[in-house]
Amino acid sequence: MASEEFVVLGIDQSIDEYACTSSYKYNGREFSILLCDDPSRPGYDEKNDVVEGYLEKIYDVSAHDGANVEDSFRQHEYLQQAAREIGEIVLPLLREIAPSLPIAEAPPPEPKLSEMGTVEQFLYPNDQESVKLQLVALNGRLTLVEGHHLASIPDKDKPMTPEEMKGIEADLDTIPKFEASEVLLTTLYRGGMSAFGASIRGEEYVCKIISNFFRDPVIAELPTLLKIRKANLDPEARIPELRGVYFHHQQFQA
Amino acid sequence: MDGLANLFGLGLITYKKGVIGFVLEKIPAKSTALVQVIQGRAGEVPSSLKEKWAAQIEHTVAELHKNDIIWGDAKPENVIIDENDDAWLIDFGGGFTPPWVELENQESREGDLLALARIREKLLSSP
Repeated sequence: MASEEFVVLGIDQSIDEYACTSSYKYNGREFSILLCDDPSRPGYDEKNDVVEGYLEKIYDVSAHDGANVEDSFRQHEYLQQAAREIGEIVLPLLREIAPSLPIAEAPPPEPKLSEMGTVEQFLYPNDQESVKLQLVALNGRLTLVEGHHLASIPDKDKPMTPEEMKGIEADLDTIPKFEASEVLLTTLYRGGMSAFGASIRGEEYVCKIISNFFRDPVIAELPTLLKIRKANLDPEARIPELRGVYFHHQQFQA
Repeated sequence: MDGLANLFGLGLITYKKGVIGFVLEKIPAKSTALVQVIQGRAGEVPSSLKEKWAAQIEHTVAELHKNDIIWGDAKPENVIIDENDDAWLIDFGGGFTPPWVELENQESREGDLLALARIREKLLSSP
């Protein structure tokens, strides 16, 4: 394969401070390599110092407020370097698996009304296939989890299941419902990817997304917010009111 | 759409099988957060204001407890100060954050009350 077919896209730190992804394009397909400090996977090194080493260094060089140009330059340089180094490690596997993966036709991009788009565009981007792999260590050397690209990820951005909604259905009937395509994301709040500023039909809200990483706490919050709404608290008790839920109907097609 | 209609025997989209998030009232927050006040990063804040915030947080938690609701992850980061200098509680997804709430008191009234005492103490002793 010609080397020019391999493109280093860079490191994305927006997940949280303990995880990031390094992305590449190879033969028209996009690959995102996860680096995280989760407990090790069976069959790989229990102590994952090499991956953690990258995470620590990435965190260190990013710990600045952007005011100093030298800090920003140092961060940029290291992120590029790390992405290149990781790219060298993962390229053989990308070469190996890329031909077996279907090339997704990139559909025409949907117009975005804000830089972040709607919740629907954010969770289910209408772009080319992205293959997700995880970087781990085996016998002290960096490698990718074997067969990771073949495993299904059933919980990825999954809506609440009927079991998770048991006991709150009646209360949900009392609040407005929106479609994910109506919820326009405007700002990312705090660290992580669960709370956003959002606009729906011109009204401003705070929006929480049941996505993979923050699924459990966001799901746990909904029944409590419904209970608070029903409790009719003293007006001097100040808690932002639950204004509605939004859904993605396509998840249950087929 | 047809899949859903088949599932429920109706021609309507139903939200009941596909909730992926929720929206909350947006509180126009001040640029100064409670956590910054506690950490001494917000300049000088009148003690009457700090006392007001502590009392408002305590009142809101008392109202929650009266209705058998636990704040859970009680900590200064989960308090918003709005443009009128009123304190609002956020984040009811559970969990705990030491030193505000310890493991043994997580998601309990005791945990909330201990966190309130710590928030009051740190807030009133902040610069």
